[in-house]
Amino acid sequence: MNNMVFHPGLILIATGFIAAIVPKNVRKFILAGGPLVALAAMFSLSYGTEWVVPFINGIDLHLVQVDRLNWVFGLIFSMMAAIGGIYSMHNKSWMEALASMCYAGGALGVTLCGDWMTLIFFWELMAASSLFLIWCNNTAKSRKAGFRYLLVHMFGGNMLLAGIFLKVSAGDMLVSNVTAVHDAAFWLILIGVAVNAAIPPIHGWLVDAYPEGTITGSVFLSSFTTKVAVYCLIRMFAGTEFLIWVGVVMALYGACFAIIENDMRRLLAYHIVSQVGFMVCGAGIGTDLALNGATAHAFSHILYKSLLFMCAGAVIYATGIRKINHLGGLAKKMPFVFVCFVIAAFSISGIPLFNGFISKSITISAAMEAGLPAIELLLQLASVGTFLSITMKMIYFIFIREGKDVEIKNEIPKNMYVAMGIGATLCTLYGIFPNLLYQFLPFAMDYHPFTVDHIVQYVQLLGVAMIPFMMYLSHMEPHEQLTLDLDWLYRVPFVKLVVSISSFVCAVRAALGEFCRSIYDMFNMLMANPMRFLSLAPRALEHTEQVPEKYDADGYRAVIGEPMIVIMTVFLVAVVFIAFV
Amino acid sequence: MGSLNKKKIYIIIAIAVAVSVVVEVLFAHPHGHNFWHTMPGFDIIMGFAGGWLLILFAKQILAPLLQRDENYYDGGDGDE
Repeated sequence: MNNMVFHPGLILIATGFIAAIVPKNVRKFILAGGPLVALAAMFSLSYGTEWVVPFINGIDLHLVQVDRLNWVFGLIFSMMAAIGGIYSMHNKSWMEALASMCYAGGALGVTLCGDWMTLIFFWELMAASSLFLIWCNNTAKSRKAGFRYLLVHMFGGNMLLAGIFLKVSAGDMLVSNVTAVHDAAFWLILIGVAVNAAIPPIHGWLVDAYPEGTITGSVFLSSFTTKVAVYCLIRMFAGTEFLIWVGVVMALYGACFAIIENDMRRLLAYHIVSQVGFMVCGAGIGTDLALNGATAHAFSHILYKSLLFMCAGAVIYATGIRKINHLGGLAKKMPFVFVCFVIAAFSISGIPLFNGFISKSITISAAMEAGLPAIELLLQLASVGTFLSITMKMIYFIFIREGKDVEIKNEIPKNMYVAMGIGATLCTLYGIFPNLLYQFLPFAMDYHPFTVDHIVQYVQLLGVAMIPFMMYLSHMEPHEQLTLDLDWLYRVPFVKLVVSISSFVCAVRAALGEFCRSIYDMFNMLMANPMRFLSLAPRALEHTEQVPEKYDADGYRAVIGEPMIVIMTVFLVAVVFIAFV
Repeated sequence: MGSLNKKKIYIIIAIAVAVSVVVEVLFAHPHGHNFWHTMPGFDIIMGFAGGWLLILFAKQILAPLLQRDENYYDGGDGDE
C-alpha cells in the first residue's frame, strides 16, 4: 500500500474547477496544461501502484490500483483529455470546461480504481458531467436529448448501484470478474455496464444525444463513456459467451444504419456502436488474444473516432451545416481538415498502415483462432460497412463532390487544427509502429499484423467494396430525413403510455376528490354544530351572517368538525385493525 | 464523380485486385484453415457481395421502413 499518489483523474477534475473560476484568457492555458500534467501523472504510475484511503465502517477505498489492463486504458484516456483540452481551448464557456474535465477525470477514476464503491462514485460523476456537454449546446433539441440521456443513464447507474450493493453486502469489495455465478448481481452490473456500452436495445441514447452535444463536447463524449464500459466488460465479463453475438449484432447494426444516416455526427455515433461491437465481441471471446484485441481496438478507436468528431466539428464550426446532403466540395476549401478526415476514415476502416488495422485485425484473428468462423466473416462484413459509410460516403459527399456552393462562415481556431494534427499523427504513428501499443497490452501475445495475407485480404475486401458504392452512387446520397431507432420506444409509445396513465390517475383523483369532498362537507356541516342532530341549532347563525344583537356563545365557538373527522378516522382505523389484524 | 473518373477508378481497382491475387498466390501463408482462408481471391467476392448486400439492405429495407420526416419527434428545432 503506497502513500498518496498523483491521481490523473483527480488532477483533471481539479483542472476543471480551476478552469471554471479563472478569467477567460487564462482558461485556455489551464485546459491545455492540466491534462498534460494528468498525462505525466499517468506515466508516473507503475504496475502494482495502489492508493488506499480509509472510508466509513472499516471500509477502504482503493482509489488507485494499477495493473496492465487499466494502465493502458488510463494512458489513452489521459492522452484523449489532452487532445480534447487543446481542441476546446477557444471555448468561452466555463461550464463546458468544468464538465469536460470532470467527465475525463471520472473516466480515469473508474478505470484506475480497485473497489466497487469508488467505481460507482466516478461512474455517476461521468454521467452527470457528460450531461452538461449536451446541455451546453443550448438548443431545444439538446435540452430534450439531455433529459433523455439523463433518464437512461439514471436507469443504468441505478442498476449498477443495485448490483454493487449486492456485491458489497456479500463482502465482495474489490472490482473483479463476476462471471463465476450468473446471479442477480451479475445481471444488474451487466445491465448497468451495457447501458454505457450502448449495447442494443439500450443504445438509442448514444445516437440521440451525441449529435446534440457542443462541437467540442461531442469529441469528449465520443471518447469516454463507451470505452469505460468496454474496460468494465473486459475487467468484469471477460469470457461471457453471449457477448460474442451481441458484439457482432452491434457491429453490423451500426454499419447498416450509418449507410442511410444524413447527420454527420449521428452517422459517426452509429459507428461508435459498430466499433464498440468489435470490442464487446472480443470481451465475449475472452481469450488473451481477444482481450488484447478489445483493449487495442478501444485505444485505436478513441484516437480515430475523436479525430472524426473533431473534423466533423470543424466542418460544423466553419460552415454551420451538419447535414451531409447540404455539404460538398470542402476538400479544396478545408484541405487540412480533409487530410485529417481521410486519415481517420482510413483508420476506422482498417486500412493497413493506419491504427484501426493493427487493432481490429487482432479481434478478427482471435475469432478465427477461437474456432468461430461465422463471427470472423460477420466482423469482416461490418468492416466493409464501415468503409462504405465513412471512407466512401462521408469523404465523397462532404469533401469531394462538386456542385454545392458551401460558404465558409467562420475561420477555424488554430487550437482545433493543432488537436486534429496531433490526432492524425497518432493514428498514423500507431498504424506504422504497432509495437508502440502492443508493448502495453495486458496479455502476452505473438501477433504480427503486417503479414502478406492480412494486407492482401484488406486490399481485396475494401478495394472491391468500392464497386457497389460507385454503382449505386446516385442512391447513396442521404436525404433530408430522420431515421427512427429504438429510442423511438421511449420517445413515442412510452410517452403515450405515461400520458395515458397520468390522465387516468388524474381523472380518478378528481372523481375521488369530488366524492370525498362531498362527504367531508357533509360531515363538517353536521359536526360543526351537534345541536343540528336535534334540530335545535340556533337558526339565526345558520342563515344570516349578521352579528346577533345579543351575545350568544354558539356564535363564537370554534368549529369542531375537522377534529371530529380526525378522531373518528382514527377510531375507525383502530376498529378495523382490532377486528382484522 | 463523372463517368470518366468512374472508369479510371474501376481500372485502378481491377489492377490493384489483380496484383493482390498474384501476391496472394505466390507469397501468402494463410493462418486459418477454412476454405475462405486458402481460396485465392475469396475476399474479392466477400467485399463485393458484402458491400452490395449492405447497401441493398440499408437502402431498400431499412430506409423505407424507418425513415421519417425531420420533424417527426419535436416538430422542429424551436423551443416549445
